[in-house]
Amino acid sequence: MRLLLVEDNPDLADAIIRRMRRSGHAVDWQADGLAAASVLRYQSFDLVVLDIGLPKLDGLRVLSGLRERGDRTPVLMLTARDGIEDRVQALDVGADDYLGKPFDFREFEARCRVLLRRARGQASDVLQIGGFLFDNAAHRVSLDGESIELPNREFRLLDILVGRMGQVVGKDEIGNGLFGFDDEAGPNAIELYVGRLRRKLAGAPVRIITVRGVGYLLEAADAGGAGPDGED
Amino acid sequence: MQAGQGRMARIERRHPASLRRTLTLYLGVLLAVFAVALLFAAREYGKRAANRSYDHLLVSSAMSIADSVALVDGQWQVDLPYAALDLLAMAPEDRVFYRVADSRGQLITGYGDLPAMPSNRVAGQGAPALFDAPYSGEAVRFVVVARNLSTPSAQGEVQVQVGQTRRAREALMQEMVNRALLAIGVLSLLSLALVGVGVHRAFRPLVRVERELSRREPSDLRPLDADVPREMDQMVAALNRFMGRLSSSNETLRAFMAEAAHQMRTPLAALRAQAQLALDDDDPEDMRRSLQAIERNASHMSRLLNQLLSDASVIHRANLQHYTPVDLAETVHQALHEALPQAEPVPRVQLAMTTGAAWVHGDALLLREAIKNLVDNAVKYSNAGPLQVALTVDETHAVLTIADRGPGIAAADAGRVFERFARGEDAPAGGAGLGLAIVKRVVDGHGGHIDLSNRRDGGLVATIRLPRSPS
Amino acid sequence: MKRLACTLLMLLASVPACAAPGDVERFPARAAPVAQLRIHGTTDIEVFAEVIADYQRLYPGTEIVYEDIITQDLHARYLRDRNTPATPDLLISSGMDLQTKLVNDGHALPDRSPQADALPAWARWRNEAFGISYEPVVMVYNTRALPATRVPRTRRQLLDLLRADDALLRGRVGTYDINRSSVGYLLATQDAQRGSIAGALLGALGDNQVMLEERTGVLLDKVSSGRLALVYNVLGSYAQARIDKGEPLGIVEPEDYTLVMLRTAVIPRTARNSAEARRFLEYLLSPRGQQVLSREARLTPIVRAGDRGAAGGPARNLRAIQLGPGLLVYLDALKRRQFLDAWNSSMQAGTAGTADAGPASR
Repeated sequence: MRLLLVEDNPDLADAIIRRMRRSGHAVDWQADGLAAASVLRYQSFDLVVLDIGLPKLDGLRVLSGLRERGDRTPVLMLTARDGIEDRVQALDVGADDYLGKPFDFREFEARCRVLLRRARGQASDVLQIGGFLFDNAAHRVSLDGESIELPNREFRLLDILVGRMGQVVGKDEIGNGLFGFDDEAGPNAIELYVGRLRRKLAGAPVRIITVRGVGYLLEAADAGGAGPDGED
Repeated sequence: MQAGQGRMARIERRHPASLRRTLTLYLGVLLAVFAVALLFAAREYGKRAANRSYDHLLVSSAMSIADSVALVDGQWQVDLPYAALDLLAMAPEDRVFYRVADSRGQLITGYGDLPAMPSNRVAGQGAPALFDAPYSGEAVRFVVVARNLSTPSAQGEVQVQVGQTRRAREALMQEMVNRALLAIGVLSLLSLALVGVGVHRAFRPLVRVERELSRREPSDLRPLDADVPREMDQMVAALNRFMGRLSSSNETLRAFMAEAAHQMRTPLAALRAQAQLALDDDDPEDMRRSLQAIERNASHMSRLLNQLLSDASVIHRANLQHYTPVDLAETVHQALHEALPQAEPVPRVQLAMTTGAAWVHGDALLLREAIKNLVDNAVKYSNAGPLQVALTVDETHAVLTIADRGPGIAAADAGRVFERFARGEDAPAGGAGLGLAIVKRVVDGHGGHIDLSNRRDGGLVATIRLPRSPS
Repeated sequence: MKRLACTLLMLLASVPACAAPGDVERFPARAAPVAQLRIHGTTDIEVFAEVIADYQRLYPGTEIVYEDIITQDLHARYLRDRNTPATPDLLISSGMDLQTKLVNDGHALPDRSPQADALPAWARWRNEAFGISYEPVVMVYNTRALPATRVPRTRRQLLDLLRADDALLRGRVGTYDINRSSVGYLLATQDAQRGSIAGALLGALGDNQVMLEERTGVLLDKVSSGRLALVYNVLGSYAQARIDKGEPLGIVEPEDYTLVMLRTAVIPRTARNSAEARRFLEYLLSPRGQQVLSREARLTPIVRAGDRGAAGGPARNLRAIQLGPGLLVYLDALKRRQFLDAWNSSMQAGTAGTADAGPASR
């Protein structure tokens, strides 16, 4: 998923970025509120992790600006201020969740997952179809009990498709969710990843369908339906 | 300080001062003095009144006797009226004496041995002379009335002297005094009671205040809103001011603590995040990066802590105001030495100091810290650009300016810049935001003035004016 | 010689047994004598003996010496003898004015006792002079000589009787010779103070050849015998005694006003036995003493003076002579001279009775 991290402390930001990228997310980082606000204007993200105490423009102002534009991107507020009033204020301004520093990484990741899930309307992190199990929380895919090893990007791709299961996901959107500003992705990167994923999911009761000129969709495999079409 | 407190405590133990007792004592003494004075007055009045009433009788008696004197054929005749002595029976226990004598003192009738009138008194015609003299073993009140008689054949003067013992007078006087005493006694008691009630009521506001204060939570430092009499207004106002100072001091401390904690959280979060990351990492390069980040943040926190502690001690010290003569020039040198970074990049400093010393009355440490703060800010905001530090003196003040080529102050921040923990929008990361508030506090405490303004061609100049010390 | 002695004896024997002023009687103590008391009084010894006897029942250890002296002598003798061993401890006299003068001149000792304090205010002065009896001053008449219808009830009626055409009282009316009788003088001056009728009365008495006597006894004898029909201004107690004995006497308390005389006791300052004197005085004022006085001397108790008039009978218009400085007025020499001169000239019209050299009036 595509994340925007707005945090002015470089070491903290570095830790978060490394952690989230290791999970396969695309993370963009801004260190001050003004820059973050302008990025948010033209780039959409799946989740914004926003520190309140920012130079130039504080996090609450960034958030309120976002919400005033009608942008419903989920926002996780991150801050050293931990009073009840501050929490309530943040939530009232439009944050979806709030986490005080210092925090445990596991909690941070779980909250991010919740927000991402909610945005997609998913109730849980786990998808099970037949013997096929996709566990987002445990970062694990298995077929009939046997683990399928997926590199991070491919896991995220599967995550994106699972999140919009039964719906077509546009290539741009996929690209948006997989690659940040700094990632170099070739034009065929997505086809590549989709092809590799298909191959790994060969025995699963799900299949990825190519919709020419639009994107891809994941659906539960039943008898019949178009066969996998790897080429685009 | 200790000795003084000890002595105070000792004095208090000996006589716990009681307003009630003092008031009652004063009023009691006043009442007593007054009562005694009244008693004497009553006695005098009683004596005079008793004398007057019985003197009337005496004079009437003498006059009626005088009226009954006749000169018949050169012979004095006195037809003593019954009423003359019967009248005097109004004093039921008193003996009576009378004497009628001619101008030469020759007895006509009556008691011949009555004491004579004192020589300085004269009984004129119709003007009775009253005096006291002992007779027959008692004190007797006498009146002497003279009467001139002239008939065709003869004329002469006769003196009628009538006396009466003083029992009835004394009794009357005593009765009046007793009555007065009773009245005075009752009045005194009533007054004392009233005074007691009055004092009690007057002290009710005190009790009210005391009760209100004791009912409060320990942390409740709101101003007292008790309804108190004018005399207590000052005290209550002082108490409120004191509580206000205490409250603001507490508030400062609390805000300070909150802010300190707040300032520490981010580096702590970074530290923790990097540590957790490192634990999950396999790559030694990544681990190394994390360790470096940990070290950086830990040392940042340590600096922060030191700064905060120093700020706290400055705040405390500023309250004490232990002032001595301080050479500002010397202080500026020291502050520069301590505040300028030793490591690269070292900013260029242009120093323009007055010759000789610039004496002010103040606290050297506080002044040094304040100047350090300003220099620190200048260095931070100007990103190690050149600094201009100047110290001059005029007739009344010493003037210190610290100028940088940084961004200056945005108009929006100008009003807030001295507020504690207020940070401008362009503030670089990592500042505690405390510095300027402290500087202002120190400057104010020294009776001086601080001003921050933007320079014409960019940058900020901080100007401090401090009153010169006479020496 | 023997004949002379016998004559003398007979003469002596014929001296009347009744006591006379100038008599001294010693009443020895009933028990072992512990105290002595000298009393000078104007009351007859026989009358007072009963009182003394009763006192000695209460205080048997007291020896009492009683001397019967006439009023003016009692006063003069005290002044003369007051610093001698013979000085009296108690003076009891009808001469209220002279007793008052003694007190006024500082010769009396105060006595504060419950009995003394119980006396009404007009019956004591300075707690130094005490009235011990209450004696109305009355007219006494012979019941045979004066028919009941003619008996005057008021002074005016007396005056009318004296001026009546039938001159019933001419030569048969008597009163005190105030030149010689101290009590008579007191009563006459009190009369003069009280009313204007006194002068007219005196004149009328003079016109009726009033008989003047020094002593009450003599006057009453003459009324009793019928020589006088009526005597004016005499002490009623003596008459009452005689009436009780059956003499044909009648008493009138004048209804316009009846003077009341108080027999007065004074403890002199120079008394040697002042404690005993006080005790005796308090006895006299006690209910028991008053009762004895009443019974023996027909002296009306002073203590019950407040009950006057309540006992029924005709309303009595009693005016007690008050103890007080007023009584000194008529003792003034000049005043006395003037009064006597006026009184004597009023009596001029009649012939005064011969003065007896006997006992003075009480």
